[in-house]
Amino acid sequence: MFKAKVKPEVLKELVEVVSILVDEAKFTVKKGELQIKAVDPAHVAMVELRVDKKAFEEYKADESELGVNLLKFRDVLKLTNPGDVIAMEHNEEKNQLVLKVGNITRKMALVDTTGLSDPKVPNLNLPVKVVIKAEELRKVIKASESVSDHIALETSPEEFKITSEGDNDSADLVMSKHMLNELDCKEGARSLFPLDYFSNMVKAISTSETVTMLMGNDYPVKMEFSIAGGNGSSTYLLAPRIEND
Amino acid sequence: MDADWTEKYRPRALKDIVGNASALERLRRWGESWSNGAPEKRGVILAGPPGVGKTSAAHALAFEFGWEVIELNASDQRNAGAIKSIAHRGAIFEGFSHTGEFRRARDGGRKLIILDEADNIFGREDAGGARAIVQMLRETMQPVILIANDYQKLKQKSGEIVSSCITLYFDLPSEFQVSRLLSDIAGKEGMKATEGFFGMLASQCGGDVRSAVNDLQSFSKGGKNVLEEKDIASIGYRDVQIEPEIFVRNLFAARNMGEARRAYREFDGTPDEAMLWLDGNMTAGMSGAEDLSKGYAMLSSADLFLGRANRAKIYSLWPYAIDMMTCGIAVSRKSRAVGAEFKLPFWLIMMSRSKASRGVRNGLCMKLARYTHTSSSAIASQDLAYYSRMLEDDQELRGHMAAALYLTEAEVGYLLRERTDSERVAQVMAEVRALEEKGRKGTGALQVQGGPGAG
Repeated sequence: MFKAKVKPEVLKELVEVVSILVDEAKFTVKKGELQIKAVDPAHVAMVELRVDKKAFEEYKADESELGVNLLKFRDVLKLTNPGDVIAMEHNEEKNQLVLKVGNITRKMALVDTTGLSDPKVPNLNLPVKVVIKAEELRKVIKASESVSDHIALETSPEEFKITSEGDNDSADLVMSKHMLNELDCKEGARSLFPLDYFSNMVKAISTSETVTMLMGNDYPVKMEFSIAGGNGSSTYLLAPRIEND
Repeated sequence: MDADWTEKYRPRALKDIVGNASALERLRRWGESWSNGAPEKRGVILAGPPGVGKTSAAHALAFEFGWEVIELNASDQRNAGAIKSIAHRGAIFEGFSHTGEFRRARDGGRKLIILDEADNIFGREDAGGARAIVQMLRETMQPVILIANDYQKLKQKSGEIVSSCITLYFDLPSEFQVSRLLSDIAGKEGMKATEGFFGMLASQCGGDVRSAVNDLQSFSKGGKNVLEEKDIASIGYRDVQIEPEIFVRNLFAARNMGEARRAYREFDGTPDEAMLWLDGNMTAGMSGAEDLSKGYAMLSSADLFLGRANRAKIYSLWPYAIDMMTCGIAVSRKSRAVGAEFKLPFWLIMMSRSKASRGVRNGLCMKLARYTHTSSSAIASQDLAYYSRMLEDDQELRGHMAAALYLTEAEVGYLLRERTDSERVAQVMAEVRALEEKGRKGTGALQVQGGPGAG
């Protein structure tokens, strides 16, 4: 059983965060929260997201799983206006999600969940911690796009540096320790990531003011941020480029 | 509903795949070579007819080495964009397994990228597909497997894909191997049948293991206690159609007349095509001067019969020609050529390249033939060159002739020996439009002022 009412902006944020990686995702509904986890088709990035029932206007649920086509979901969200409330209900018999916005009812067929990825966020040894304003990340993304396909995240005990280097152009953002909310780094570390994924991730962070980034050397980056006005949290993991072995 | 047996008994390990032992061994060795970092050839093409275990082999390899699989198959949208965003991205970045473990290539946690039906990836509308694959093969740090039913097509589309990969051919497994597999599965499913039943089922599938297993499953629903050969009559032969390249391979591997005939039976083409393929690949399929000379002698007798059949339209002569070229080659061969690579015959390559211009020429000849009351083959063989020469100097004739015969730009281009989009062709076409304009105002009829018809 799953029945909830929610403001469209909460749903929009949540769909945005997940849909940059996958078109279909498994929503795991629990008594007290909603969880979404997914790995992208290239197996390069992962997302985990939890929203507490407090983020919903109304929330009633037993444990269940919904296979949701996010593209369809996004179309439904386009029908909403600010101030609307969306009513959702899982019709288990027909395996449909019934969405009601104002006087529109949209019945959405659900996807078989067996084919959808259900990853666990791995335990990674990520010794470097940076807490940075989301705004700063958005700025550097803007500067880096069209420079290169890759972006390097580099830390030293004194500063955090984001570099994008193309054949002729380059862009970088250097932030010394006092400009950051937090920098915890004993040894220098550097990894190279796909810019488009990194960029989409940064753009999907909409309401959180800060992002916690955990990193290592030639190792994945983990980005943690809050969603749904603090009533939820989300984690992105992005794998680094394979260095010559 | 019962599970699909082809899925249920899909081989999980390389050793469970029926037949093709040497190709599988080479595949395994390539897999092992990844343990010391990326090898020189990072891609493998698995080529062969449908249902012989190519896709199973790719998955079994990944399973044996503990590799994650990223698969783009025919049902997905596969264009240059998808190859770039999924396959290529997976190829150069580390990744997570579907359960969320972080896998580092250096520590053996690789991802196998599988492009199924790679020969069908690039349609007309997606010219970037081949380039995207080449690009991926160049930069990949992960193993890549391309699967193709039609190796020749893949090769024609992109020689570079083929040259940057190791190609492994999968042949049809023998009837004995298939029948043993069928009997194994039947045993596990508690199905009873005679040896002859399995043998017959195996021989009818034409080497397509997948369809043989499907057939077996359909019999399991019949509810009969012990199945026998005569029960098979109900399903009839499966029509296996194979690529010319495989026909050539099978024929040059045939040990007796029966196998040679079977190879031809599966070939989906005319005797003339078979002849071209055999002729073009004779040097690859036969080794030694004696074998070669005997083989060509057989081919030339076949050619005699074919020529007579085609000239006199007595197609009952075809079987003689076919036996000469298939059985003839099979029995005139002493040694076996191993691992030969068979190619599209040169003549077919030339014909396909000149197809467009031949089409234009034929259209032009038909138009001239109608106008001059001549046969179009006479125009083609005798007159066409004169027309070309006449048009060279006579600007007026150019316009009038093009207008009177309603020539297309391509045809004018052919006559003037110019490209269709050249300046001179454009001039002629402008003149045609002017003449048509005049004609519509009634100030003069269109007339050709030269050529044998009017002269």
